[in-house]
Amino acid sequence: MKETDRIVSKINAVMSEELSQSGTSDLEQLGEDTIMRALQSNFFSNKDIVRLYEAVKLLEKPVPGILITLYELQGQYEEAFKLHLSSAELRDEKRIFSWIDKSLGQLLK
Amino acid sequence: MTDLTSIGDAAEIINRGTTPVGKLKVAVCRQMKELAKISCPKTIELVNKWFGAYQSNLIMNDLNEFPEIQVKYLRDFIEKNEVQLKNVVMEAEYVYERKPLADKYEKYLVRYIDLLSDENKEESARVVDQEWYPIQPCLDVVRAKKNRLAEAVLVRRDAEYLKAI
Repeated sequence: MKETDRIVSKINAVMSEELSQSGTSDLEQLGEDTIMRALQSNFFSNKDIVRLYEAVKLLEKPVPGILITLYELQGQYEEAFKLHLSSAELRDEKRIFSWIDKSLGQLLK
Repeated sequence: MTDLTSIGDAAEIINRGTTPVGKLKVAVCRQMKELAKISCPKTIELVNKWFGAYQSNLIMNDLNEFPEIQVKYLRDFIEKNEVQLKNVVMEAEYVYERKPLADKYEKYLVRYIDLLSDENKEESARVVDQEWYPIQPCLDVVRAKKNRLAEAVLVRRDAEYLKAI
């Protein structure tokens, strides 16, 4: 099984109701960077993204970076910005300013 | 540096908040004070690049309630743009077209001296010794703040200026 397939099967598992029942985070085990790469690979439909977003929100401690990516994929840049400001991890000088600059640039393309 | 010449108007940015980029700009604009708390130099860069028209409004209005951020922001802004500010203020004495922009920059300089009079009188005295800081408006604010150190420097500069004439 290719790495991407494994990621997809994991994320699909997360999207199932299994997650809300167990309350565990398969997403965290998989690693933030790997998930974000998978999310940005256009493998998922918009519907999948929405379902994944709903599943991630159910997590006790959603990974902020993954939530940001999901917001971006849904075009909810204002929500992503609010999360940057409210998350101690993302409210970092380098991360927040480079994210705003990158996002405004992307939206203008 | 064209952004620096824009007259501030946050409402202009707010009114554009219907497109995705406009919506994000509005969200960011509303939190500019928070961003300035995180980093003044980075906020200055961000405003110069994406919110040029808002710079003046941010400095002179929106940061008023936060003098400790306002003084840091002004210090970084003036240091970062010192050459341009100095040239515009000095040239306005003989280039009429420079006057509106010079007036705006002089307001920044006077506000900075006003805030610095509370924060660090010795530093304010050193700063007002620079020839491009306007004498009379700075004298008015340092006298109001009973900042004798800066007042002495400005009175000396005033006398030298009159003597030079």
